[in-house]
Amino acid sequence: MAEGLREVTTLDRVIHEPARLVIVTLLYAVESADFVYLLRETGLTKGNLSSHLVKLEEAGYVAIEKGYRGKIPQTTCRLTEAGREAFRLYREQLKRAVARLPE
Amino acid sequence: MGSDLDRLMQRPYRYWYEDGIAELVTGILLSLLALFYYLDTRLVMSGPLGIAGHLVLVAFIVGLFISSRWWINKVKQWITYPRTGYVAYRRPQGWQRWRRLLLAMLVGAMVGGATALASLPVYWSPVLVGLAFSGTFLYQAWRVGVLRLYTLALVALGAGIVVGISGLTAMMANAAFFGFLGLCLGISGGVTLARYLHSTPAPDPAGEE
Repeated sequence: MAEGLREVTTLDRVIHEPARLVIVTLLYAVESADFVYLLRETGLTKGNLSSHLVKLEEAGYVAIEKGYRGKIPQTTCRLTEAGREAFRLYREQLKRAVARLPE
Repeated sequence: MGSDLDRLMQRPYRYWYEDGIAELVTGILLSLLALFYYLDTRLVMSGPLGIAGHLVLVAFIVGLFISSRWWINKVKQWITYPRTGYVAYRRPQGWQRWRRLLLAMLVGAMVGGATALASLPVYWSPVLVGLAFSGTFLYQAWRVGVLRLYTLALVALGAGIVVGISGLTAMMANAAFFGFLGLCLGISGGVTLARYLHSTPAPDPAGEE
């Protein structure tokens, strides 16, 4: 198997899924973001976004806090340190994999 | 793929400018500063009172820069976050924590110093400040990819030069510069806010559920 292809198979599957990759990338740039913001930026449905967030939370990459803004419920998400490290590693692996892929 | 991820990471920073509130609030604060300068031309202060007045001016400028983000966040909590969601930005790390304070002190010192020291040609003050604002807008435009910030950079530089060569007195020149820049920021922010309100739905009273 070509070196680049082998590198692709070792990518973190939790992050490598397209919707979760978008979520993690957005959260990496900020301290935290709420559900409404992520919903708008990802274009996912509420159910879809919730299920991806749960998966990221189960992997220990995202911490989810439910609270209130005044009387309105608000769900805030942030990347954990493990999530930040996993994303940094993912980016490095992805760069290497793309660089080694055959033309 | 890598550059796609970089562009994606830019989007939360661009979100800060999406509603125009940052420009609107900054425009209002600069207009207040212009008013401060204008009133200074009406109240003749000399000697120790004049020096104290200029120190108050420098402190006011530094305070404006430091508190502007707080004011902007307050308005966003009311208008933006209920509509399109809330983002908490990462606090600057290391030396970058002091970047805003240093910039505020630099601009405050430039403006206060240029107008307080009679030996300096006073018309340099708006040129220098225009350059500082222009540089800031250019840097932000490059960093977050908001095109209208390039226009504001040109406006700030042009206004500084025009006011600088206008022959106005020091205080009137600063009042004119900050007043004009505040007006332009206010218009830019107001138009952007109107577009934002038109294109985004009113907040759902039930929240996310």
